[in-house]
Amino acid sequence: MRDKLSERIKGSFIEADRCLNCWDAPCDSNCPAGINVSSFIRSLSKGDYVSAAEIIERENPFGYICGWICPQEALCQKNCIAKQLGSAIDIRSLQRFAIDIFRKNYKGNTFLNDYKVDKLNINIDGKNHIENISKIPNHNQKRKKVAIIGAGPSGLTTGLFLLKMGYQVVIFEKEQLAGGRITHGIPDFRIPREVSLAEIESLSCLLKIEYEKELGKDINISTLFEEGFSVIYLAIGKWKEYSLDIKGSNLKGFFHADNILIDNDWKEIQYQNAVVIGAGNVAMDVARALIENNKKSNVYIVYRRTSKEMPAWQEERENGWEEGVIFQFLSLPVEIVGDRSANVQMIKCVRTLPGEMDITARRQSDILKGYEFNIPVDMVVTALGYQPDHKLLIYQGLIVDKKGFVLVDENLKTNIENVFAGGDIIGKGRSTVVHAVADGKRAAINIDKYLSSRGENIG
Amino acid sequence: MVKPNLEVEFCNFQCENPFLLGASPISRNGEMIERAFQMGWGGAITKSVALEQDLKDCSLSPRFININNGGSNTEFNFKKIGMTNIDFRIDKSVKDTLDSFAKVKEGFPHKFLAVSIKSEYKERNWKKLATLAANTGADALELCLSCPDSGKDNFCCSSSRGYQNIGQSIGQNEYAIKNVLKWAREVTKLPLIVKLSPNVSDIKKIAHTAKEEGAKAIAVANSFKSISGFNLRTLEPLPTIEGISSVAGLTGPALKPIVLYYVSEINKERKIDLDISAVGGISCAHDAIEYLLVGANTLQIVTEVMWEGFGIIDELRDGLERFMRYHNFRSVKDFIGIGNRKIKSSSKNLSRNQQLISNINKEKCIGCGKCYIACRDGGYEAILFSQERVSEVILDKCVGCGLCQIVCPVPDAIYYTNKTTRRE
Repeated sequence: MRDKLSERIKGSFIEADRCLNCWDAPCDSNCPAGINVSSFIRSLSKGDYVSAAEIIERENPFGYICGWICPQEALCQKNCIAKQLGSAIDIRSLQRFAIDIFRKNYKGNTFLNDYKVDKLNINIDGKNHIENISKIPNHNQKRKKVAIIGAGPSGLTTGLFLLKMGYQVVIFEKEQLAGGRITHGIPDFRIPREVSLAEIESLSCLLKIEYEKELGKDINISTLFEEGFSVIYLAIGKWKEYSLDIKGSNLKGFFHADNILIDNDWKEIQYQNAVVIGAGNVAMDVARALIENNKKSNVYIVYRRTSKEMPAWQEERENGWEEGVIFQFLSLPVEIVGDRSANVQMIKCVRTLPGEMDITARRQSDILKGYEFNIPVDMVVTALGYQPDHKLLIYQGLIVDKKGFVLVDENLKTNIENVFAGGDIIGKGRSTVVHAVADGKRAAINIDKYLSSRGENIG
Repeated sequence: MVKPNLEVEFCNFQCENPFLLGASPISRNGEMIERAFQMGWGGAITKSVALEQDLKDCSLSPRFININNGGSNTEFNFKKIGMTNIDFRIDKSVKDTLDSFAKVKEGFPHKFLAVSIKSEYKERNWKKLATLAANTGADALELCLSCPDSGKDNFCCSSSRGYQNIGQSIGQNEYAIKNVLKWAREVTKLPLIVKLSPNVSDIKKIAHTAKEEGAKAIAVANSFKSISGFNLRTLEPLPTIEGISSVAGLTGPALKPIVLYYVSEINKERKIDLDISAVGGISCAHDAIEYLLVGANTLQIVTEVMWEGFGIIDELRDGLERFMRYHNFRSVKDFIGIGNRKIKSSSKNLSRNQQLISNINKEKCIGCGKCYIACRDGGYEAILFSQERVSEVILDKCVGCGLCQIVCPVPDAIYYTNKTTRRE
């Protein structure tokens, strides 16, 4: 998976040269993090990788990580005009390449800690806005303390940009490591672990982070204000797995996605046939991780709808197919059956039929009676996605929607004065690093605007 | 149909095809030339022999750097438009070098071989070299008057030691050219080829001087004086030798349009009437044919061979033959110089009756908007671009300049029609 840089140099420059440099380029407006995609590719096509790296890192502190894992086919590549001349530009690889070659030739340098920001490119609903950072005369105002809860991609982005604007930032993280989903949940085959850890380390070393401080246990929103923080940015993500109400979920060999993606002890288990329940990106990650660990195993994805309704990105789906994931569409698991020593033995499923469209424009599935079938298994993993811990949020005084996501206005402000929220915790079905970064940038801009408009009478 | 005859006459010699190795590292010794001859090259001009090579100095290192379309990054070398070089000297003694040339000529009597010589501006040296070179049995001598090695900016040649500074290199000074030709003619009867410098204000005048003093042919042109660029990280010029560099000679595809002009100008001048050997950025048969059309008799190829090897001769010969069959030319002589008839010396002489207008083929347009931005900022603001990414020509504003066609990535998506007919 780790390719040698020298082998990529010529190909990458040629790929950059293939870019048409369209006027009003679609890629520019389709980057949630607001990277000027067409201009960094143009720089690359002239051989100027230094400018390219700067354009990327100026707007996206996670530019390198996104260069590995960003779902480009759904974002910048989506409307690439070059597609009509053959194939879309491989933008993600170029992004990674620009930073790779820049760091190699400039001895690991990065633009992250280089300079203060005076403007940021914000992308809202496919349109870019340049937001200027306020210059307030009262210097004390800029030394306001901002607390950020959660050191994931969103929290780190906000922290970094607020720091560059001159604020005092403290990040509270419940784990021992920063990075959120990047450190806890993205499998090795999508980005090598040492690469992501090094990236997170180089970012978090710029910031003041207090580890093992969990919201609701060690800190509370109200007490943080008492400690002198002016604003809180809530970016704790979603970590509670949707559970499956199915008979047999207490058997040995039954796992949750987190057990596979975060822990390592499952790798010792012998398995021949594994079933993953769910069809989102998490399910694809789990299925691929299972195959990666045991190449001889049969890994099934059991999904009650068809491939068209799968929530996983097209690219993830194709990767799954290529690596040999066996898809059982129109199949609804109804019971997991165990053997005498309470190990999972098989999974009972029924066939379904595509039914009426529901409100999410996906077909409901009607059960087809009389078409039951069994899959012999020795491991079952549920990967139905994650939701926020709504009890915790309500207890903190926040208003949440019916799925448990924090409700925010267009400026990412919550119902509590001085509390902003962003990233996975506000939902909207975009649980990717690049969207978290986008929220982080918007939060930094809005917090800055908010604080600088408050004048001197505050705290 | 009869197989086209690729033979050309050059310096009273019947070359089997017009493709020659130019004087450069590719014709450094007899073995290299022999290899090229076996592959089918029509002849060769040897690397210029200089007395200084007996001093056994080594060449500079590194000597080459690529010139790119965009930035001078060394990592970035796939869009080469040329190459610059500094200082080359043959690694053998004068005697060994000339002996190896003599051996090649003996083995390949039907191939054209000219020995190139160069020296500082000293009668004794030129006469000695010309005598030695003529004794190899070569078909002609090339006088390298264009490497400015006796001038102030000493590049690509070998006499950095003890040169006599005459203020200008020989090739830029008509008086010096006259003398050198005279000295050479006094010791040999062989046809003389003068290699002209492109770094002159009027190349026709220099060519005329060469003609008057009895040269049989001219080679147009040598490398162009240039500065290769800088490494922006270290602020050192390229190619870097202990932190510094020098003025260098530019070669390669970037030169072609300029040298085509020189060849054409010299060919059009009736009174010059010299055989012309074109050197400058030939990389394929198309380039070579263009030189023949503006009046070159033979074609010397260097940079492309240095990049791709002697093997390109097959492609060059095949391409030339295909062209001749297509146009029914029996021999190369049939079309040498015919292109010049259609080239006026100034755009003032061209008709203004042809007025075209650009049209966008909506079927082929992919909506990249390049024509829009080019016309808006570099043309006549005659193209509209909608939110839906559809381009449209404003007929009244379009003057048919052709800029939109140049930037359009889709062939034939933009085409011309006549402005007057379109309006009716």
